[in-house]
Amino acid sequence: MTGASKPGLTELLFSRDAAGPDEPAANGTYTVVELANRLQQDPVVVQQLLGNGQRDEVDAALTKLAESADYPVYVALVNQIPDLREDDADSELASLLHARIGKDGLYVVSADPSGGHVGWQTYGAGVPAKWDLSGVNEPPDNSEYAPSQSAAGDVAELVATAANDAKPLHDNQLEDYRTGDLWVQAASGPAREVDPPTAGTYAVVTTSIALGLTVTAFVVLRAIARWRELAPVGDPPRRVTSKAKSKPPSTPRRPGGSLTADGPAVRAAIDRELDDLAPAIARAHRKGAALPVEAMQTVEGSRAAAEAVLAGLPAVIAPQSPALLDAVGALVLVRSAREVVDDPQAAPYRPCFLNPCHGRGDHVLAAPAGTDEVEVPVCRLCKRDADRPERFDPLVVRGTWGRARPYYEGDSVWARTGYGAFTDELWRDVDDSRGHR
Amino acid sequence: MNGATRLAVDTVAALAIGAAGVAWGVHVVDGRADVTSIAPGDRVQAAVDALRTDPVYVPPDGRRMLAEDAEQRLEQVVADAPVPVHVVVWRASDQAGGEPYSFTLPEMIAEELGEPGVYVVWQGPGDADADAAAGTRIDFGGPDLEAAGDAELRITEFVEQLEADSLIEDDGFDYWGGRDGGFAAGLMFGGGIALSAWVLVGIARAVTGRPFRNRPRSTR
Repeated sequence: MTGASKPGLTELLFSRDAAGPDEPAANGTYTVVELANRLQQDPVVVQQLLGNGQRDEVDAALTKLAESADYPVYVALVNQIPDLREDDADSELASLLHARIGKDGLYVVSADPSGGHVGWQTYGAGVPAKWDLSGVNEPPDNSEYAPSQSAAGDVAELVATAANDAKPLHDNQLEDYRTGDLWVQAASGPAREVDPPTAGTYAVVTTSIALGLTVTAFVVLRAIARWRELAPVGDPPRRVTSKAKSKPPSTPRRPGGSLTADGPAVRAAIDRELDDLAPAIARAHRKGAALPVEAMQTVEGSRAAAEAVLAGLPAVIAPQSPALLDAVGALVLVRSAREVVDDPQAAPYRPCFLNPCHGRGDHVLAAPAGTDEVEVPVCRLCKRDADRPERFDPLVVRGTWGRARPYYEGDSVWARTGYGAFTDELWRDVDDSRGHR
Repeated sequence: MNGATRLAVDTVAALAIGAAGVAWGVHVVDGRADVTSIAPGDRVQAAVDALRTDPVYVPPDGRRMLAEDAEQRLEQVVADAPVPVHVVVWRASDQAGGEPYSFTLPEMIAEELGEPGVYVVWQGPGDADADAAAGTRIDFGGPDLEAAGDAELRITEFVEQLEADSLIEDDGFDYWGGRDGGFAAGLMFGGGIALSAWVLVGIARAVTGRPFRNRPRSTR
């Protein structure tokens, strides 16, 4: 078939599918002779089948590259040509084209629409030897998600490398010939390996984000909003504290005997009140009215229990530590003794249940205890705050996890006795508990 | 700021954050759509242009599979079919841009042509498939295109078996089960996230000595 050499017939056949002059006459396939003839008219022949979807642009770019070389460069990107070797048809075709055209130069061919294999031959002095053009540039990325180079891109890289005296191409240039829009294989890399989103993808993404993120944001924002308000009782709301500080007159003083619940203050109070206890006993005796035996037993028992507790205290009492509970207990025991010394007929000393450091619990507060209600002695200020529990200032101790809780939620002897709120003879309970250790 | 105002502000803020998240999610999915979209390329475009005037397109490289007289007979079969049919017979190429496979090409050609009906792409034995235009699909009970043997014979068989009700509405079934399935899956995922957030924030409250639930303390 020599259709290409008969312009009239060629024109007729080309016009059928509005194809360009690089399309062969019949069956979409050149013969070797037709292709050689065509290459002599135009050294770059690109069929749409190998044009990477942009035949005209690819043809123009390859033509420019071919012209940049110092020797003739023939490029054929064409449909498979029958009756060639099966193992390296492209190189064979390059040889056949050279034999037909008869000029030195570089012959680059891809006649492999379903694989894009590229073959080439070089002829003549001044043209790089065939294998000098192989492996010049670093190998392309062959990973699963990497885009593939089209046959056109492969040819472009080869011709550019040849025109560059078979030296490696600049990285940017190489990147363009491998992944640039003109040269990359469209259906490769992420375009092929990533599942395209569907209506279901949009539905699942929008629904899960709308529900999950909105609720999460709401829950977090609400937690922040109430963070202070819901702080543990041992860590009173800053707002309340600052208000109290800014308006001192509105906060009445705690009753006598009140002190802050920290180690040094409690220890100082114990030392002072313990020192005062012995002279007070002596004074009571001097008044003539010797204390009744039972009263004397309470006084001595309380004092002994206080001293026993004190002996077990560490040198430094950490804030909110169990040792602080013991120290406060010792103070309460001393005050119980002093109460009896001052008035043997008086009711047993009961400190403020919520925080014995507040001093005497002269008032009564109903507190829920399970399904029941118990009445506990509290100081005046705690009574006043009965309707505002968030303002309570209970004696706090930190537990295993560092969590601050009111002492009466624990299981110490102090929690069981409420520092005397639930017992008339605190010292006996303390002795018992120490005996059990 | 009192409690009710704060609640309103938090609600609006949460809805705004959720809306922003949804916008971001759509943006990310759109990005995936961009990455996975493939330009048809000049070869597919040429086929689409030809199909506008002729239901059977055979470029020169497909002529070995469907000769001119066979093409004319097939055109008659297509004209008699109860549903629109568009046929492309050509040589397979993964070097011509666009979709290279017979199982991806019919959808791409249908999308580019934008006409209803059945799309057949025949690229050779074992490489032929049919699909329907967007929004429709070939009923599972409908005919199958046998991708072996003679193109004219197989495509004619297939087209002749097509009936008016062979083309049914596409329910958009996908990995998630379409829009409804995706919505249900989204409720499950979103619910899981929401529940986890509630529990985690509750735990954060609990370990810092606060009540697990975000309720005001009893004032008793």
